[in-house]
Amino acid sequence: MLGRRQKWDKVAIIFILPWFIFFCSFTFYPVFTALLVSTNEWNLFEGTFRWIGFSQYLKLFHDAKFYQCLWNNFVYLGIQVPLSIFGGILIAVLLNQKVKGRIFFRGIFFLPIITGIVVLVIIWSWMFSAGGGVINYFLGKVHLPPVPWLIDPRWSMPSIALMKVWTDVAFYGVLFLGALQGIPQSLFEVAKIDGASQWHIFWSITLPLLNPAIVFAVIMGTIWGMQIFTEPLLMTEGGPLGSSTPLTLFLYRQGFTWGRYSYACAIGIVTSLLILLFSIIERKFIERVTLY
Amino acid sequence: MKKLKRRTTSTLIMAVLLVTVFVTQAGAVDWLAEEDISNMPSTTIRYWYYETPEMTALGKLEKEKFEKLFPNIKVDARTAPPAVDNWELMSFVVGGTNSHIHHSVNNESLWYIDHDMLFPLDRLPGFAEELNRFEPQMTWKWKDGHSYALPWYGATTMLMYNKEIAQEVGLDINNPPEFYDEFLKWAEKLTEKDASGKTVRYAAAIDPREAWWRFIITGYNLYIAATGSGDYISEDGTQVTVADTPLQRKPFEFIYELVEKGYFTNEIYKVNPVYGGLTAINWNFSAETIFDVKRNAPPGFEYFLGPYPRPKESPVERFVGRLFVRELVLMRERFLRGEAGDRVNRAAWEYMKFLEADEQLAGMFKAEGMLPCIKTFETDPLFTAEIEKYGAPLGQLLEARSGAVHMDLNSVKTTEVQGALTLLIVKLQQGVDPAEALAWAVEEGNKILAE
Repeated sequence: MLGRRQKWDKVAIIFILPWFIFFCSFTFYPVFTALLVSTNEWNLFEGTFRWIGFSQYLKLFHDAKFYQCLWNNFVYLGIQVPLSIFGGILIAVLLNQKVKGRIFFRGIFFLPIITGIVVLVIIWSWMFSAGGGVINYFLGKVHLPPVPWLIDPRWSMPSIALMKVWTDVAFYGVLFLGALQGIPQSLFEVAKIDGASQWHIFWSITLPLLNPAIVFAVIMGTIWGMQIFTEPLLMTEGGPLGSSTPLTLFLYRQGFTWGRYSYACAIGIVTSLLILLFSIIERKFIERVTLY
Repeated sequence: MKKLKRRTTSTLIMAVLLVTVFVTQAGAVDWLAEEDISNMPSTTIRYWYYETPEMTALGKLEKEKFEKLFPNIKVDARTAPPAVDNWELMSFVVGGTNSHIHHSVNNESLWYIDHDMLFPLDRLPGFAEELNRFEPQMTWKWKDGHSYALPWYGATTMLMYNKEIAQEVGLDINNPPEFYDEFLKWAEKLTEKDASGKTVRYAAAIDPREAWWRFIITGYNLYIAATGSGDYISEDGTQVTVADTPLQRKPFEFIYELVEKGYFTNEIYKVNPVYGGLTAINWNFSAETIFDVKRNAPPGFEYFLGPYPRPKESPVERFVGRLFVRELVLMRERFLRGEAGDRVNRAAWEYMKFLEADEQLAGMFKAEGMLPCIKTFETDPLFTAEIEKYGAPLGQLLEARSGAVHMDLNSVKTTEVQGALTLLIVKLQQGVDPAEALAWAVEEGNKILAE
């Protein structure tokens, strides 16, 4: 018995080893190095470290720019995550109907995910143009004033979040469609026999059974939202006046533009801890309000 | 007796060692001082092509040509990774994969010198003759008595006006505005509103994005035109001086006025808005724009150039703008020591000289419109035939270049202060009062300098 177990362990180790090496090289080692660098002054050329304690963390907690960037992330999360998930559920429910050409529509809705980010940024920048953009054109058609989407500090981050809603709705749509198709049809049939309305079925059966997928979507949406980088860098460079600078772009500029490695690592560590904290809170909260 | 034996033995060993070292050294070649490297043992250097497709294609041809001239030198070449400057370059330097010849600029080069990353070119054969080929105005003098860079191309910018729009609104295209009051009158005429009062064409656009270098495009030229100088930090390096005098404050007040009056927009355009008539003035016309016009402007598009406007009290005459010089520096070989390292540094110098040779500079000018910094640029037939093709705009740019102020970013801190000055312009665009915006920029800049 013991011999078999030992043999199984060796096989398991062989299977786990590639992932373990990858994890140590690209997760554990960078996190450890980031912790080390955040508490030391690092001479890159000599490879030497000088202990500076937690001064960079103290500096960070007194830096108004850090709070501005954190707020920007909150604005982004507050718009992007709920709208994407809501839109995703809506699309999934629609695509789950037995309508003609639903395979085609599934493909169409998936297109934003496979489109390159630079292409999306260029197209959306045109669409967001305050003077000649298509969005303001349609707003004008319904007698609404033009919005300075990317060039006004109040609108820059919401604009980026809206653009990301468009791409992420597709992803969440596919996610929820998979979850929907996993729900036993018998539950819907029984509800129909009992005379439940479509809305009642959705509220009492579909939504509660989608809950695990929603928990996943909210947590992953938050993690990805905290990591937003390319879109603000390409669309606004974090402006105007830092209004669309997320923590990741703040970190990047401190580290790679101004060479403040210790400070950048401190930002990275704090951001990671914030993501962890948000994920725990969200999980506890959503699991508590589960409807079944 | 034993002691004597031991002493004799150690003396003999020492003597053998000394003789060996002497013989080895006597036979060794000091490659750093060697004029001709055609008999150098096989050596490999690394080089990154400039990022654009045209320059990469040119770079490949140059590599082939050089390797034919020096079959013993291999150029391990690749296209430069995007936006690799200063700290971004460090991973390549520490990993030993960076280009031995780096396309640099003065503020970056000084930072590299501080970190002992550059090889002093004046220690290499033929440097004095090489340096003498370039316009002194475009050649940087380094602080510690050594020269570390050769100018590669030098650019200046002017204002580009859409000719059709200017004529349509009745402006004299032969006399573009020079002073603020004239420019304001032009800006008013070039700005167009529809019947509902909505602006359908702005005089110009100033990009509101926040990369630190945007100030160089948006405000620096106006600042130089107003003050005649590119300095914005005190000589002792402790204070930002951008708001010290009324003349220094003028360009910022001017930008505020242009935005406030609705002549300038802060819209972000992905294509030059002057081509389609969305704006009438391009704020940053360079020799490369001549190529861009050919590629992207609609057929029949015509333009003319003008100077950056200045206040009447400005000490400068006609055109003064910034001169940007891209230079080549030799990144010291860090991993190979002794003779092997010397060979790489020397071979890289040979390649740098090759890249700076007239033929290669002409190729670069033809490919991308980068203006070489050599003294003979406007007289050598190799270049003049090409210059003539581009007509009056290039002539005006060259004239402007001769009087331009070399962009003075002489430390990383001065660069970082430009980040604050970029935000100053964005604040003005957002309607912040110039006095308040300037006070903020000075305070922010002083904080950076005090760090």
